[in-house]
Amino acid sequence: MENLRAAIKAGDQQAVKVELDALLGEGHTAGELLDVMIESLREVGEAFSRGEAFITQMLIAAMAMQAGSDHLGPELVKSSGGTKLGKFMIATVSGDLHDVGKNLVALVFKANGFDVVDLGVDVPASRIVAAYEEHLPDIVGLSALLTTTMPAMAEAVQAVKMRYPHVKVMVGGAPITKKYAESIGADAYAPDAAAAAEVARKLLAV
Amino acid sequence: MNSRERFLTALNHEAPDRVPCDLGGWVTTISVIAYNSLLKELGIDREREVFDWLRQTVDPEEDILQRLGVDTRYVHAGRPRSWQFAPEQTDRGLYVVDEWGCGFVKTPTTLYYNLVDSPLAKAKIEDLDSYAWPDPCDPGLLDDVVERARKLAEEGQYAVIGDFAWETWYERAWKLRGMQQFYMDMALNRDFIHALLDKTLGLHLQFLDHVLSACGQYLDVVIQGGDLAGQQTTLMSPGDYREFVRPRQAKAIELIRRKTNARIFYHCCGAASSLIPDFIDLGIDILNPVQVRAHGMEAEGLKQRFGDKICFWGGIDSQQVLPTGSPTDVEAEVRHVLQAMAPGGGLVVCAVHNIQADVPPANVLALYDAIAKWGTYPLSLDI
Repeated sequence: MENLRAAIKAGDQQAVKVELDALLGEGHTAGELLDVMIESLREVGEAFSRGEAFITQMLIAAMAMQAGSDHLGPELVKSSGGTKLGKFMIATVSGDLHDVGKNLVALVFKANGFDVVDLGVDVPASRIVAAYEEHLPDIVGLSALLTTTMPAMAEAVQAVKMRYPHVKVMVGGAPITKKYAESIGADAYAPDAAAAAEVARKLLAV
Repeated sequence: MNSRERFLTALNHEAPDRVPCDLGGWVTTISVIAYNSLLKELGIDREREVFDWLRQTVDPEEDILQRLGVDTRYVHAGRPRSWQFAPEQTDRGLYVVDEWGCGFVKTPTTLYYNLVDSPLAKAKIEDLDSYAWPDPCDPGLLDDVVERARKLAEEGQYAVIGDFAWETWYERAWKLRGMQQFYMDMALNRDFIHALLDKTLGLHLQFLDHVLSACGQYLDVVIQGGDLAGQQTTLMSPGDYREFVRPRQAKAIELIRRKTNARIFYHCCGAASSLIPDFIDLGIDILNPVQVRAHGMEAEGLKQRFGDKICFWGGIDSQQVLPTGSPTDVEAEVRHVLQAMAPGGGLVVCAVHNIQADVPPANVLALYDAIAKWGTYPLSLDI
């Protein structure tokens, strides 16, 4: 197990696969191994939130975790007790083409066991609402890097909430603050990708 | 005391007659939308064209610089002869490939061009040599540079700023690779990142050598930069910074020192406070943009910890106050930053980064009027 943890943290996808095969061979279940990987990624996420790990470490650990869970195979994970936490849909709002933060959030959510629908960048409010109706996610996440696209974020939150008041909407991005999130009617704010996954778990009480 | 004397005094960490201020550089200018609104607000019946196509900003005109009391004047690199800005309408929006081969899109909803295609996304080290790199000594890059620099220096009225970041070797590297891939490679494909940075730095050094040989003696400041931090932390670990970035910054600085007596301005957005001791060690004279809303970048703390060793250039919050505050809020923010950072000199004040399209003209005027009103030494700023 320690080698698996180390491989996730080092972002070594090859080593993750080798360790998983070895541990499965020893009789560990896929669900158990998935939990270990999630926990390892969470530790990297916590270090990231504390300013002790950086975007490089977050990205490679999340990608390694993704490779690991792909290697186990979704069916195997399911049959051995691994459960999805919920469905998370994410978009960078209209007028904003920045995707690194949004991608990182999507990766971390996937790695944490959420089903993730990524709508991409520069997504207008109308498309977010339509995608909600198509995918029915438990949480809608919205990202913006620019102050000039914060109004588009407010518009998207309103568009979703007007039709579907019960839907949980989370927001984040460099210029976004908790206060701003509250002012536009979002349910939650997170300062970074790792914190976002924790906030989402709390929102859904999972 | 004229603008240049005021500026140089402040950069010597001494109190001039008033705090110098800036507008017009690569990352200290103003969006074309905000600028044209400002012209309208001032009752001036004309419109300015975009100067920097990527950021959709302008090179402000002399009458506006004088109206706002700006103490700097810029010498911008010219346009390469081998490449022309000619965007095409595509289904993704207006699309342009720049002289480095990077693809950018501006959609009807976006305010500037955004990177969408990185030509070296899948490249290997051996591909770098055969890549079609731009010519750092393209004669167009010197168009009007020497004449303008000499004229400004001879007049001696304003601080002469050499706007020669040339997109920066660091940011150019990740634009060529794609940001996400670049930061993953920093852990998993380190040799490639070293090779890529060697390439972009090498070209940058050739460019600097070329341009500073021509006009270095006329400059008071040379602009350098490369974002190394985000809102909460640096983008890389201290170890990665010292392995990948710092030795290369040192090479650029060494070359600039050889070519000119100008001060070195380094632009790094975000929560960069942990890097400032390195910047000081390297001999960087000025930190820009002093993103005061980023983690650990509060004006008071920076001045206290580093104010006697490095100058600050920027500081007026553009993430909250300038776009969403009232003119009164802007004035209060200016007073706050002056109070924190102006004592004893060491400050050139302006917005954190380019003034964006969402900043109302009343706030732009409030910014520069407040600097004029509250920036006189001895400072009496108690709020």
